[in-house]
Amino acid sequence: MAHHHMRRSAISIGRPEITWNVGNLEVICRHAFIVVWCNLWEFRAMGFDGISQNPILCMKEVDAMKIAICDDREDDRGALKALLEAYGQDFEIREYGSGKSLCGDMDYIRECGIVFLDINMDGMDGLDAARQIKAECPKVHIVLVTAYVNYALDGYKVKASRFLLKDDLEQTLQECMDDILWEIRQEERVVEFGFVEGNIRLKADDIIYIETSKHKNVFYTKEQTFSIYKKMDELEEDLKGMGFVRIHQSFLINMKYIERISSYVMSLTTGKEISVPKSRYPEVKRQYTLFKGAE
Amino acid sequence: MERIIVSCFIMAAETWGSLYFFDTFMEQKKIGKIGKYRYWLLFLMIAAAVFINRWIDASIWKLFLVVSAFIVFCMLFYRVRWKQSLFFSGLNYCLILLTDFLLVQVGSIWISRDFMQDGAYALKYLLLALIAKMTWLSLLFILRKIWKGRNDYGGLSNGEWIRLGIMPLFTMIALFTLLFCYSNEKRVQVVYLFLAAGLIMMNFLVMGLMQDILVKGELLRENALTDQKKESQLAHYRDMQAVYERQGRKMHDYKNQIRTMQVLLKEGDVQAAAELAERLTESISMEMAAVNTNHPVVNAVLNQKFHAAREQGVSMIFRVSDMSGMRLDGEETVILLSNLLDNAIRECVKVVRRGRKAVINIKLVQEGGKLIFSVKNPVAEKVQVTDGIVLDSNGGMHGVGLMNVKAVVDKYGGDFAISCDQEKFQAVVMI
Repeated sequence: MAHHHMRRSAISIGRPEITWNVGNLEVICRHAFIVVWCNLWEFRAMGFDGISQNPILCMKEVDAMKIAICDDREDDRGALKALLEAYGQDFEIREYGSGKSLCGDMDYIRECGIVFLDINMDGMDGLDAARQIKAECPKVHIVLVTAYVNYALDGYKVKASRFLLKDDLEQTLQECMDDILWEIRQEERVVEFGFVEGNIRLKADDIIYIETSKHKNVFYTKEQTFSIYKKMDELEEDLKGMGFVRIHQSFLINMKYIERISSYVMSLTTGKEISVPKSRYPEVKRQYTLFKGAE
Repeated sequence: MERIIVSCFIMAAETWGSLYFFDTFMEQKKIGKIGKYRYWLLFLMIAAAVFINRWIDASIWKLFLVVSAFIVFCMLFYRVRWKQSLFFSGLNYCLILLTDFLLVQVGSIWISRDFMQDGAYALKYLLLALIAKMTWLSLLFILRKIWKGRNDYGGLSNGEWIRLGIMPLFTMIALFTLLFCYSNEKRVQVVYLFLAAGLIMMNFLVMGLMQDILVKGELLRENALTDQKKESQLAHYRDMQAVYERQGRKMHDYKNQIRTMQVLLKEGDVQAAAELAERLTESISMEMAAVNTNHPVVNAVLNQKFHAAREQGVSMIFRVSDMSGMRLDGEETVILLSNLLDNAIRECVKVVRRGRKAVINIKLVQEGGKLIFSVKNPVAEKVQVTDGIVLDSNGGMHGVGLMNVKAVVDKYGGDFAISCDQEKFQAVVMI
C-alpha cells in the first residue's frame, strides 16, 4: 500500500520512477512516511529534472581524432596514411619525417589520440621518441611499426599499445584501430546519475566501487562518495560492458582497481579488501581474467 | 507415541547418514541458501515417504518411495546424472536395509526369539535401532576411508553402470525374499545372518571395483594427455626443423643473389644492383624472426606460429614484453602457447576461407608478478562455452589441447578463462 502511495506521489511530482532495494521493502513499508519525505527532498535537490533512463551520457568523439605518423620513409608514411584514410573515419593526420621533428611538435602530440612510430630511423629512433612522448603525454596511444619486432622489450618499457609489422599493415591496421578506438572510448566514458547530491557526471573509470549501505548505494571514487536510491541490479545493468563485476549482493567493483583475488578475498589498489562469496568466486575470477586479457 | 518418537529418532539418524553417504560419492551443487537446509528437506522427504507407506501399508512400496525420495534429493543437490543418482540411492537404501536386517537377526538369535513381542518393546527396539544405525554409520565411515574421492563418473559407460547396479538390485531382491520367507527357526536365522553379512561385504566389493575402474580410467586419460603433450613437442621440433631448412635454402639463394649483385656492380650497372639489393632486403626481413621476447622457447613458438599463420593468410598483432623471467619450463611453455595459437590459427583459416580478414591478437606480458597470455581471434561461427569449457557440436568437451592448457594453469594455481561471441573468441591465461 505504501509503495503505491509513493508511486502516485512521485508521478505527481514528475519523476518517472522510484526504486529501492527489494530486500528492504519490508522496512520501507514500515517507514513509508520517512522514505516518501526523503524522496521528496531528493526531488527538490534535483530540481525535478527527472533522470535519463539510460545513464550513459557520452563517449569521446573519435571521428575528429588527431593522429601522427612518424617514419623516415615517405612511401611508408604515405601508405599508412592511405590506410588510415580508408578506415572510414575523419581523422586529422600529420606526418613527420624524423623523431626529432615529431618531438618538436609536442603541442599537437598532446592533442593526439594515436601516434604511429617507425622504430628504426636515422638519428633519434622511434623508441627514443616514444619514451619522450610517453613522459610528456602519458595518455597517448603509441603504435610501433617495425620490420620485425626485435625491439619488443624496450617497446614495452615505453608502454607501446601495439606492435605492427610493416609488410602486414593492410591486414592488421583495421583490427588495431578497432581495438585502440574501443580503448579510447572506454577511457572516456562518462555516466550521469541522479544522486542524492544532485545530477552528477562521472567518468566510469573514476568509479572504484559501489557498495550498498543502509537503503542506498554509495559510489566510491578517488575523491568523493555519492549516494543514490537505485537498485544494485539496475546499476549493474547500467554499467554493463564498462569493466564492472558484481562480486556480492552489495558490491559492484571496477575491475581496473582490482589488485589481486585470492582465497575468496579481493584486494583493491586502494587497500580495501572485500570477501567474495564462494558461490560467485569462479565467475568473478573468470571475468577478471578475461578483463586482464583484454586490457 | 513412543513409536513416533523412536521413528523420528531413527529417521533423523538415517537422514544424517544418507547425507554423509551422498557427500562421499557426489559433488554438491552450489545453490545458495537452500543448500543449508538440505538436511531438513531430506528428513521431510523421508518422513513423507514413511508416512505414505503407513497409509498404503505395503512394505514393498516403502522401498520405491524412499529410493525415489533419495533420487529426487540427489538430482536437486548434487551434480549427477539420473543413473548415478539411481545407483547411489539404491546402494544407500541397501546398506540401511542390510544393517537393520543383520541386527534384527542378531536380536532374534542372541537376545530373545520373540523380543519384538515382549512388553518393553520401545526400549528394546530403540536399543536395537541404535545399534543398527551405529553399525550402518560405521560402515559409512569405513567406506569413506576406502573411497579416495574420485567423483568423476564420466568414464563409466552405461554397460558398466548396469553391471555395477546389479549388486544393489540383487541385494534388495534378496532381502525382500528373506523377509517374505522369514522363519523363526534359529538355524535358518543364523543362515540369514551370514547372508546379510555376506551381502554387505559384496556391496563393499562392488564399490571397490567401481573405484578401480575409475582409477584406471583416469590413468588412461592421463596417458592420453601425456601422449598428446609428446606429440605437441614433436610437432614443434618438426616445425623448427622446417624453419631451419627453409632458412638454409634461403641462405643459399641469398648467396647467389649477392654474387649476382657483385657482378652487376663490377659491370657498372648500379641501378640494377640497387634494385636487387632492395628486393633482397625485403625478402630477408620477411624471413627473419618476427618476434623477440628474450626467451628462446617463446621466440621459437611465436615465430613458428607467426610464419605458419602467414602462409595461410592469417595475420598477427603482438603485445609482448620481456619473458626472460618466466617460471614455466620449456614443455609447459610449448603446451600453453602452441595449443592456444593452433586453435586460433585453425579458426582463422575457416574465416579466411569465407572471404573475411583474419587477424589474431596476441598479448603475452608479465605485469604485477603475473604472466598474462591472451589470444583473441575471429570465429567462423560462435562456439558454445560452458563452465569454461568449449563444447563441440555434439555437446561434448572439445579438444585435448585445452585440457592440457588447463592442466598447466592448474599446476601453478592460475586462471584460465574463455569466452566467445558471434565474432570473436578469446582465451586468457593468467599465472
